[in-house]
Amino acid sequence: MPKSLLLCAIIFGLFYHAELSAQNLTLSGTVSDMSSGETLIGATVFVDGTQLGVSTNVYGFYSLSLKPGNYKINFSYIGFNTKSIDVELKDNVKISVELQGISLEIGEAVVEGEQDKNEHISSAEMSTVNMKMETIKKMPAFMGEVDVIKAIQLLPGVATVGEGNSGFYVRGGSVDQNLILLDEAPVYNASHLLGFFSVFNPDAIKDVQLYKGGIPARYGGRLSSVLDIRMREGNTKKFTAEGGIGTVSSRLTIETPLAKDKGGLLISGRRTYIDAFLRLSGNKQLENTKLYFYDTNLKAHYKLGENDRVFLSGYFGRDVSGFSDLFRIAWGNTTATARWNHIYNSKLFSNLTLIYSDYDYELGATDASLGFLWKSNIRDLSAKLDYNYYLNLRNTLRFGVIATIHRIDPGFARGTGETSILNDLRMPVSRSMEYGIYLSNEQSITDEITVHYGLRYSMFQNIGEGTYWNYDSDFEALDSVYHESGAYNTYGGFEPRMGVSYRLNENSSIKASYNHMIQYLHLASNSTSSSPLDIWLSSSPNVKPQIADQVAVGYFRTLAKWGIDASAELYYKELDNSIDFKNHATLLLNKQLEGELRIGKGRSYGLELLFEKNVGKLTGLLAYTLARSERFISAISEDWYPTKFDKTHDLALTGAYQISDRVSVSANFVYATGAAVTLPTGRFEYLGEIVPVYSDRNGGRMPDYHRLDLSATIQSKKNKHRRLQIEKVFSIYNVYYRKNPYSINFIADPDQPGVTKAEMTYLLPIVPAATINFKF
Amino acid sequence: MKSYNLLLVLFVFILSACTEPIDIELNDEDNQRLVVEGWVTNYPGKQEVKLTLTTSYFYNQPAPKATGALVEVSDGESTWNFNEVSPGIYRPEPDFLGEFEKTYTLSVDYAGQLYTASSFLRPVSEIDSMAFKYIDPLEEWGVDEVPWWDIQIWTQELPGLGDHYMWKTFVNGVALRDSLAEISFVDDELYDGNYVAGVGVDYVDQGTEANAGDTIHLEQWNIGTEAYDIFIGILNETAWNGGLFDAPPANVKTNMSNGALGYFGAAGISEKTAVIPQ
Repeated sequence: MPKSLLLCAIIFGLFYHAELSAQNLTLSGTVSDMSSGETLIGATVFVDGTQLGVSTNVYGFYSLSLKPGNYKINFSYIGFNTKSIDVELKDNVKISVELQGISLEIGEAVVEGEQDKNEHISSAEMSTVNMKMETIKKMPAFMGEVDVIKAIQLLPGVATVGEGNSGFYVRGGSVDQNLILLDEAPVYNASHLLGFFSVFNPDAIKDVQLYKGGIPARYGGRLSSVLDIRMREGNTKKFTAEGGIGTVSSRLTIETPLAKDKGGLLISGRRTYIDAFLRLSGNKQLENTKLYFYDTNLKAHYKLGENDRVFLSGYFGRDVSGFSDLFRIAWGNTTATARWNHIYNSKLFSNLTLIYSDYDYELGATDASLGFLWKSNIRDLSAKLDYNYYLNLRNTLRFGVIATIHRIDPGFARGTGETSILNDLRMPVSRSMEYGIYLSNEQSITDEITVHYGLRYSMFQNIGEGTYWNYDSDFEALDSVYHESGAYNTYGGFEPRMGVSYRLNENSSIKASYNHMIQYLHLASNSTSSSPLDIWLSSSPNVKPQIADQVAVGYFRTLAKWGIDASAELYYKELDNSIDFKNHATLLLNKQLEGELRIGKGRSYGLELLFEKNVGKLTGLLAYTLARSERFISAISEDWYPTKFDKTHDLALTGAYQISDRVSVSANFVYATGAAVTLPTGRFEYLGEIVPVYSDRNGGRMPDYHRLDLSATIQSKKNKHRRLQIEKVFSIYNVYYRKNPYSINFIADPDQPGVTKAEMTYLLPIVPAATINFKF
Repeated sequence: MKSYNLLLVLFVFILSACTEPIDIELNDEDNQRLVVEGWVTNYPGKQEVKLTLTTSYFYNQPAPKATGALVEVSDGESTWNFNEVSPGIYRPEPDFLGEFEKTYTLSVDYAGQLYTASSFLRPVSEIDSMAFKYIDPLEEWGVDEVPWWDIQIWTQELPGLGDHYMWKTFVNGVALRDSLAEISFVDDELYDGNYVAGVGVDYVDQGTEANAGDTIHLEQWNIGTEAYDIFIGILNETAWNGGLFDAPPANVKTNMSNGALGYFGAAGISEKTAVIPQ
């Protein structure tokens, strides 16, 4: 506590100091894309020839405080031509700038604009990666489906488990420790079709930001990472349509101005048609099979005046599979966000957000006596108020509050048959409130040293009506306590965050960061695949919040000659109240789920190298991770054991090359140490089954994972008189047909009684795909 | 019940999962541990304890029998000695019948070590009647599979959670299924205390397993929670292993003491016999 008081003192001291300093004037405005009116996130605004400047926030807003005088201001953004504007600063000025995208045409492509200031070097942020949709779209995509999460998985410090799975594990944290936000709404299950695809339709996405460490104080609620995904806003200049017809799905996105330069609307949809093929197969069994998913995204924004903008965004997606009318399973997310940006004055920017998020699934079967319907969902309602205060050129303050109501219905199953023999089975619904309040500052102490520091206070309350069980030391339920209303259990804590960057010279810097995170909601899952049957459980009198502490140091360098940003980072992370499950735990429809939890601790550490090239004919990234991720849970193992996502070596190389103005090719190579598995040390026979006996958890390794993917993109001839552009994309997944084991199973040979064998399951052979994209 | 297996077919097709053997080196430290498979019931001829030993994982021969053990079962008042009637198989002579709601304790003295386990004999209700429902999947769903008879029963589920049923089917006196994976068993959580009217608890395939005119004998065992959990554990590690949503492998629970494996249980049994109509 004294530490945090000290921090507050520093922050307020700073205010005081600022007020005494010279009379400054403010230059503010937004930066946007000239062709679509779409605001640009993270565009840099700098005073020419100095280290003084800021980046635009997620709404494209910037504010720069300067002494009166004449300045040349540079506005720049990767992939866009830098714009310089001469400003004579006598009063506060508003300058909104539109930047022009660099045409892909060969010859003029390489404009490695000597930036006045390089964010990669000077920002105090580390362990953070921003991915542009253009970069992601260039990577070879599995079955032609461009996928944000598959791209994230290539980054250092991000591990995957299982072929084609859209779950990801950041710096040794489990899959539920990622805060996945779509326009600020949490997405509880980002998977389609058992994880082979993610819910993010690439055409509707504008910006993807991943925080693996040094997580800013404005984010909370998850331990290991924040994946902040922003949807496009909708074109304010002209009507456009784009889409694609692919091997597994088709997409269509329509954008239209609501009022020229004032508002725009985007509607985007995607649907798979595997089931249509199945219907054509002529096989009755396949004809009766249902299997599809779809996504819809909607976004509208409108400028109410100089200082106010409102946004509405929504997502709705669903997976459905089943057989005839006998069996059906369906799941999906619904999110909605309403936002109101208000600029109080040239220094104070605010945003009010209302958020709704729901993940639900249902499972049903028809039968006269055993037919059933089982439904479950998790729902969040949040209100959030954030401020950016551009105090002066050296300090940008952010502060805000958030309150969320969580409602978790772990399951309600009932018989549906006419002569049903099944009783209703209702899991108790859990309700809770989560609050956060934060204050942070990004400060340039000198031209060389930039720091960002912040403090978040989070609080969590279980509220009625609710039921929880008391357990004895053997985790057997003793009795249950029912609370009709009001808060019956409270947790809370300070979460300090900080980062510092020291610029060694123009091209290199060293950085360090620390963050303390608290997580109050946990996913009850012990399987490798992301199952749609997710059960989230909240902290409670029996389940303490999970806690993480992470330190990281890094060396950052820009190799300007080649346009490469390079970094090396070392991290160490400790997890407390880490959750695992007892052996053969019953997770589904279990009223006493908390009795299946086993609590322990975790630690992970590693080295991450990243080389990124975002400009020129050749672009791509090389990522390497050397890491260890372990848990210690005394009820499971007597010693530390590696997690299933512990990968000693993890390498990804992805590159795209623009051969001509119409043709580009790209490749993707990944290599990783095989996943940790538990191997049998003996066997016994019981009731006709041969049962394995195990010793060390995750003591063995699967064979190494490696894979190469290729793709080529051919664009239609450019014609100035024709707006329609067509692009053909051909891709091959797993080019050399590596049989990467998904799992190793120790099973009885069905043909030879008494014989057991080790068998590996692999999922994906060579998968070719073709997609045609259009845009006009 | 059988139709739900089609779901598995569906998912396997979609994921086009392939398997192939893989060479992998294993330690074989879990050798020569005692394994118990024993039951005491209220039914004649079912009191039996089988003793075997663990082997290395790729041993690939029938488990060695644990012979020469001293085996006895007690209900706290009486004690019955089990004699080794063939290698590793121990039976009481003369036979005795377990009684509902009594706790039975097994003790095995083998190779100088004493192993024990206790189990409560839960009562079971009578099967009031049994019927056969003929199902032709080609007609019903257009799926070309062998037709079968669902074996339907009418019985009262006992009020109060914790009853777990296992059904064993005999065709003309011969056990239809010999491994746990094929035997059906269920817990009562979803239908506690309800009257079960014409629910299929097992099935026989036409032609390969039974024909009209064959005599079907059905046993209903109330095995209790502990046995149910252990059976689920065994299936998770064997027949159900290999799915996409597998939990991490783990040792199956046992109620035996002193490092032995397996399960000693007590169960109430009821039965019904009927002929498949023409």
